[in-house]
Amino acid sequence: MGKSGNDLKVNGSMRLAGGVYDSAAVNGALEINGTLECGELSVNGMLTVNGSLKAGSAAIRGRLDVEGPIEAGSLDSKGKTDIEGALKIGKIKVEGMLDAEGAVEADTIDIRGHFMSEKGCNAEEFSSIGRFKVEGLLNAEKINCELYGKSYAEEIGGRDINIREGQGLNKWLKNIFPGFNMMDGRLIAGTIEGDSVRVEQTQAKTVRGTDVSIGEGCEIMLVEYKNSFKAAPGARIKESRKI
Amino acid sequence: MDEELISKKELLELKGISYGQLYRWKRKNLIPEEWFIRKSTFTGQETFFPRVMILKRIEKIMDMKEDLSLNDLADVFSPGVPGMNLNTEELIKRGIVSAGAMEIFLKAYGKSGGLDFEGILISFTAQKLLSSGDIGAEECAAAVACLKENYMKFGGKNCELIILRKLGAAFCLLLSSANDIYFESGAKVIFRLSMLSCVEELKLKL
Repeated sequence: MGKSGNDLKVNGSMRLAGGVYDSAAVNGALEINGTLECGELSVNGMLTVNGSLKAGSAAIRGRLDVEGPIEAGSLDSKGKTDIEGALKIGKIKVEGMLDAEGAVEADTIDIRGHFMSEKGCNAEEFSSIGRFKVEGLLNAEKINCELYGKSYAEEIGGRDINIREGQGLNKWLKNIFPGFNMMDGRLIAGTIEGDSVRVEQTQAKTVRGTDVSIGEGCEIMLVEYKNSFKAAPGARIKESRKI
Repeated sequence: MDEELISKKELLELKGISYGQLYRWKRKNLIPEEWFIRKSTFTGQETFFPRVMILKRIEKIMDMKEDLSLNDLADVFSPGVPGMNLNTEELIKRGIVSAGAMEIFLKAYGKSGGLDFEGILISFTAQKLLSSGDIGAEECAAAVACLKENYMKFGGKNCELIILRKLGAAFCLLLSSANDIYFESGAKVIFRLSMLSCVEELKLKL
């Protein structure tokens, strides 16, 4: 199918073979057995693509399942999104959950909730409030995370890395009742490397950086720093050295 | 090849670059994934690179980043240019391939008129072979035929072109990088060329 001037509108439930549209609006459920290409995609309900998805912008309220790769200018998802192929997206904004089985490539990634990437993740800016799990390398110019629940990354690399414990109610209660920890905000990582690295509540084998600050609740086997190194009184560091 | 490795730490120190820069270049595909070699050391995991290649690459990036954006740089280092098509006359006019080399190339390549990137690359290789002064026209033709038949099989991965001569007879082989290779004593390597560096050189001329 060539480029068409069609708009696709689905109210209710439908199954289609895919195609090229200017815009696609789904209220209800749509299943595509093939490739869907559209300028503007809006889903209230559920969209399943058994193939690949290309969109200028995609706004999902509900569920998006894509069996193949996805390419989009922006993805704004409130709900749950599962992508089996690679993701190449300008701006990712998720409130809810994003599960990416393929490699993730984006300009900005902004997650509130849960983010999973099984083949690494590249972005200029990565921010997360909640939990994330990245197998492989999380590589971004700026990484800003607020931890709620258990997060994991095999490797983290970038320029500015800032990992903080959750700033919400939990921290407030913890201050009043020592020992209280309902939302155990923690990060477990192999290696963390950056120009400026600040971590809290992090358990890592190695942290390397120009300026390194290790905060409360950290357990680090080895810290290597070039310029400055700070450690909070409650941080446990097995070894640190200036390189 | 049991090539010499350099640790990430040493590399950053030596070149005066930061973690942030290195990760940025990796993100932009200026440094291929295969070059990141992870090894366990007594201090835990460390990353190593093939020393000669990474040092050359970093120098090139630092030289060129003044004039080119990172995305343009990524194109320079990527193995192909899809959709590229140039006329043989154009190549001669631009001084990429000399008229004499082009004639020898065309005879062996068996196609005239527009050349795609692969064709341009092979003609450029022929030019390099001939201008080295060590390779005769016939040997060059054999190399062109070998590249034409086999270069695509490497799928954009680096490979090396080696031309050997023994008792006056020359032959040509293509092998993927990082292989040990030994020759019998009478054989002499008369030409050895990394195709990836050839690609980079060519792209800067196009």
